[in-house]
Amino acid sequence: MIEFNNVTKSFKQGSRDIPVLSDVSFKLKESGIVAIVGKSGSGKSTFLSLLSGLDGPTSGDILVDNQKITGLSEKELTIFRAKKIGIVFQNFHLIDHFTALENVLLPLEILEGENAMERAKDILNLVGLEGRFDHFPSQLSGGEKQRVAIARAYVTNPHFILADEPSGNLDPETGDVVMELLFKTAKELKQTVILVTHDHELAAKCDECYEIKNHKIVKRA
Amino acid sequence: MIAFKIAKREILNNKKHWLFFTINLVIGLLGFTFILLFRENISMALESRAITLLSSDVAITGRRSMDDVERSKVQAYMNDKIEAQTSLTELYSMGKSIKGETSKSRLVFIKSLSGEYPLRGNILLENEQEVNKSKIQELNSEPFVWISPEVRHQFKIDIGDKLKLGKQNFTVKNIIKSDSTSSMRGVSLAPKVYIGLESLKLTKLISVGTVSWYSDFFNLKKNIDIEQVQLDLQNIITDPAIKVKSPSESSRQFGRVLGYLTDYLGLIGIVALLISTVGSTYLFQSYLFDRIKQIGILKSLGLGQFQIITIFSSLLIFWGAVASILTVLGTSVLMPLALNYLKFWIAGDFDFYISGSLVSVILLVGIGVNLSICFPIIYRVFRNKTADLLVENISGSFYKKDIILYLPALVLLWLLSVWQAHSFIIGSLFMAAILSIFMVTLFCLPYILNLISKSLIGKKLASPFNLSFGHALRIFSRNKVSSILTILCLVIGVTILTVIGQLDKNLKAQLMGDKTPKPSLFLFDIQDEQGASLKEFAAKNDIPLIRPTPMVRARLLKKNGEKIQRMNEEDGFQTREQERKRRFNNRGVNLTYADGLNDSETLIEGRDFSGDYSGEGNAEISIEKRYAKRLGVGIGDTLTYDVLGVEVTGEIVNLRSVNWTSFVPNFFIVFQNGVLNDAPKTFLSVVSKVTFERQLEIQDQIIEEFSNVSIINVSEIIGKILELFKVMALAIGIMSFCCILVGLFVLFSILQNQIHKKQYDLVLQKVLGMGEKSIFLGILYEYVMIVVITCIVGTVIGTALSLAVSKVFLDGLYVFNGEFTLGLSVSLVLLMVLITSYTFKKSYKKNVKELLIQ
Repeated sequence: MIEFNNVTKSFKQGSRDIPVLSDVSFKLKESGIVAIVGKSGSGKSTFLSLLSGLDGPTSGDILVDNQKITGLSEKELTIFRAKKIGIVFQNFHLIDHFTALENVLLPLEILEGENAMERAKDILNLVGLEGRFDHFPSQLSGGEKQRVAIARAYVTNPHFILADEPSGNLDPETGDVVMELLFKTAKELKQTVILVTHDHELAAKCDECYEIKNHKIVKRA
Repeated sequence: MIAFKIAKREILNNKKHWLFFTINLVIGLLGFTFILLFRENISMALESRAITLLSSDVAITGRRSMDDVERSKVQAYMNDKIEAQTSLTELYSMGKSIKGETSKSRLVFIKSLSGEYPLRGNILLENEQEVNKSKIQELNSEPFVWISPEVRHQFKIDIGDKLKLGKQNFTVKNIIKSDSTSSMRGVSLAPKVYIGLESLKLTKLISVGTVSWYSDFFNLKKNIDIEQVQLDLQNIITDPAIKVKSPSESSRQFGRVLGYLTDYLGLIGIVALLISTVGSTYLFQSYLFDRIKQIGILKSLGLGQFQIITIFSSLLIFWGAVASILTVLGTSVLMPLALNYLKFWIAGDFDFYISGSLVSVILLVGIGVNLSICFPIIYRVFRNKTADLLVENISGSFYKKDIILYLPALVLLWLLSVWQAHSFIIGSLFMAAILSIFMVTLFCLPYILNLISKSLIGKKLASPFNLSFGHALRIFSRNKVSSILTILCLVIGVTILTVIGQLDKNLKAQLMGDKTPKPSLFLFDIQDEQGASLKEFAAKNDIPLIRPTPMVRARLLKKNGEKIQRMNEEDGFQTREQERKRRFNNRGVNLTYADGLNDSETLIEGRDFSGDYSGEGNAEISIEKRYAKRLGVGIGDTLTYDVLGVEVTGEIVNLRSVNWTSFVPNFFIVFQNGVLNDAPKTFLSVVSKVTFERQLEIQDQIIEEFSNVSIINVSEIIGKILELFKVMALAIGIMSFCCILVGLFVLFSILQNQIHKKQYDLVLQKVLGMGEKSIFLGILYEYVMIVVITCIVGTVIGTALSLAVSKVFLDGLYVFNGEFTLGLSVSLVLLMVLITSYTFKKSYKKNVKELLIQ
């Protein structure tokens, strides 16, 4: 479960405070795919960075699985992220000098998980990349890169997958395929996906939808 | 023009990048400029003192004095041209102090004066009196001697004490405070004493074959062309063994000693320049590749290729010029300090001077090297289609034909090398060596990296050792361009330092090694008639005198029947080879004769002497291999020598190598027995190793009995050679260390750039759950691997080069200097750890949120 209690996040610009989220409180149960929509600059990415512990709120508390992450040390946050969060980025962000298999293996080996190799290969097979294990990112298409990124996010079986506009850098056709894969994999692996998008059509396909508007997060019908 | 406006914007928007780029160039240019200005300043200072160094307008000097015919011809020619003239005789001899019961004998350099000396410049005595005609008259009136402060120190004598030279006791009349005719300090074989020419006769030191120099000095009347007089005198005196010197030649002669050192320093300066250019190239490439989309946009908006190329070329020219100017300013601060240090070695003051033409040269080098190396990168980007540039899908591949693009840079660097080395051979060899290091590194490293990749990288990321190491290994071996460039930046500096470190140990081993014990004393000027009595004296006094070897003074007349011509000095740029050839041709030689080879000689080619000379046909000659090469002769060739007016022709029957560091009498040319035996000669001999106390005792004993014999203390000479090498090695070592520093700075710049580029990777690793320590270790392992590979490659190439140099010049067994290599490698690894830690910590904290907020 994710819980935001009176979370405020603002940025300093010179002497001015620019609010992004203001006194936000909401709870999110583990339940399928949740969309977060909002206009550009509304604070969607800030929301993800707060949720993943990469950034702290100006005030308020954030709880993930009843664990307060706002007071965790950098080391504890690192462990928290490794175990509970998987992230899919708009720009894929694969390590260029690692093969597809190695990119997926990395989070598993950070956690020193067992049968890492088999699990990595299985998940790459699941996202349809059989036969592309030893290819470097530069040898893969955009869609393939995002599949590797999805596989990497899912491979440690985290509680939450945070997906930041995962189809934003792909052509519509490939984007659809990737989103379908994301949804399918989430269902197969029974994981919660928090999808940040500005695509309302895509948001409509999700199990729940929240909108960031006027510095608040509101549930949409 | 729009191109310049965009270029200006590029400068203003990327200040930090260009700052690093410029600092990179500045530190590379600094070494080069420093040596260039240092040499120019010395040369200027010596030129300004050229007349006082020569002590007159024109001098005729040689190992023999002019004969009557030559003298009368010279007098007839000079009669209406001169204002004043004088002569000087110089020689080495033993001096013996007599002070109460104690006495001390040492080798001294005697300058015997007459008339007025110097004709130009001055000699100051300790009581501030200047040496003039009357002072020299006084010196000639009695057996008086003026001594240099070194003689006072070494003999522990002062004014009023006695100093015996040859057969005559001299009274110390004064101490020389300064002598404008002297240049180098501390590197001469013996300290100076000054006596009158009349008194020299009393010493009875001069006899046939004595090692001495005779000079006649002339001051010319106003408006007489010195160079023309020099040329005319050279035509009057046809014997090339007698030199006619003008002030300019004299200053060049003094400058030559430092010239050899600065030649090598200049080359190392080029290395520093080259390394920094590698760094700048990397930074520029990185900068340009970040602007590929921008270039595409500019092209699609209608900006022509020429204009876009102008944007980036003008940036290179601008920053090249800025770097050059900053370098000149930096050098102006450092140079006076260096020139001040020079006073320890060269008498006189050196004022810092920089000419407009020198600034132009530095500007040209700064801009030229920068532009010629970076321009091909611009070209490689521009050959891509606009559409590809827009989507940043370009090929940065290097094709074989791209080498042509780098030809201007290669030619420029080659010209700089030849110019700095003053030698086509050394300059070209140096360029070839640098290119070889580059080529070996460029061609071998990809294989090494592939090998590492295949053999060490396991399937698991955490193998071998741990995740950070596995990660580092992958980045290091797969990110080839970056790894190779970084290694290249360091490898040349490590190679040169390795060569110096290895040669240092080998030279010491050669000069001081126990395998071939060196003699203690080296005796020369033993007269022909003294040979037998000296032997007898040695046997009687238990002096281990060995190898009395005859020495016959001669002059090379013909090579294969062809007459050797005097080579006159030419104006303009002259390579060291041309200079050497000229000196070589104009020089007298020492010959000896023997039954065969001695134990410090090895037959390389040909046969032993057939026995004693039969008196028919040509005599047989054995010649040292390097000397033969320099003379351009081989087995079967004939050489004709003039031995005091008698022509002696010999045919080369063998080439031999000589272990010169054995310090026993050896000669370049050895005739078979029976040819030169009746020629006027002196003998050389050595006293084998004895204790220091015994050495002094023997020295005193010999001088007491044979006052004309001169003795060199071999261990002192070894000490002087080592001292000189130490100074040279220090200077070259400092320059090489600067190369390493340049390399490290370049590395620092590259590291900054790479870590900046790796920010996403770093954050990504963090997001995926890697701790800061693991991420840092990953980066650290990567760069430590780079340094380790650099040290291995640099040590292998450096050791191979030093082995080659050692084999060619030292003729000895090679001793590997392991401590030096270990020390250098450990220091570099530690420096790398420091740089990596600093750069990582600075960058890591900045980029935590960057990945998601985009």
